[in-house]
Amino acid sequence: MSAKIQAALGYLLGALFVYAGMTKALDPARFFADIRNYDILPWPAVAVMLAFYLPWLEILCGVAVIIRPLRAGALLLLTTLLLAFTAALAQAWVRGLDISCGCFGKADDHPGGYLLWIGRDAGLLIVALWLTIAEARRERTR
Amino acid sequence: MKPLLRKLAVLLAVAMIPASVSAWVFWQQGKWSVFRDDTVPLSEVAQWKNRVLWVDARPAADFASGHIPGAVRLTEEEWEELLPELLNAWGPDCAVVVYCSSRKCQASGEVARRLREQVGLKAVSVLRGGWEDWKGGRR
Repeated sequence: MSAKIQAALGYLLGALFVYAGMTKALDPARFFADIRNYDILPWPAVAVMLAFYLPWLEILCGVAVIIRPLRAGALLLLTTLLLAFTAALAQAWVRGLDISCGCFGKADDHPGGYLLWIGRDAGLLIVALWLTIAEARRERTR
Repeated sequence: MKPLLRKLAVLLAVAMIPASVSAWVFWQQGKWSVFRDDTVPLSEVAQWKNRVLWVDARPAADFASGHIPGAVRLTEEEWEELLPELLNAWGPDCAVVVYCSSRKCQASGEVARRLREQVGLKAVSVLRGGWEDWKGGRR
């Protein structure tokens, strides 16, 4: 039963990240603006690099979670990304920044929904962490 | 541990390929200018010799309670309705400066981006600090 739930959650998580990555990869200028809005990176050049790199990393990890061979690595990366996204959202909330999440490109464009965004990311983080641990145990017993 | 690190390295490295291609295509399309810092402080705008067209990207209620003299409103939500007014006020000799409430809002950046990308205006900047800085008179 647990294995079936894990498989289903894995597919969902993978598909979600492929979708999230696609929305950003299609509009790097917008994602660059979203990154800058978080006001964390003092160097615009790093934001430019991330605007091109992160979407493809998300897509690749999403695909790798669904297609097995690199699953353990992909899950660990997605967990790390989710941790970073949640922390970025939390600091923006604390500082009172009036920004949009930028998590799904233009799809979630409404400013001010910090509770929803952080709750969503925290939920995904728990799922990703659970799958990462489960995958690590599975690999150890092989 | 080693196989996991190898998987991580493969994923991190492979993602660089489409990212680099995407960046190259973007460069080839001549869109790289969108990455420049488009914010200007009030002190800099005050020294410009061109006519400045102020664009207020705040909600109507905020605009009604006070705005930069001569400013026209334009928001993403009311884009179609408000854009004609801005285009009427615009001239080839003027520099467009968009502002929202403060340094913490992003509406001015979004409006400036759309004016450049969708309307094709070249001289479009964002007022650093927005209405808050204007009101504070930090020239």
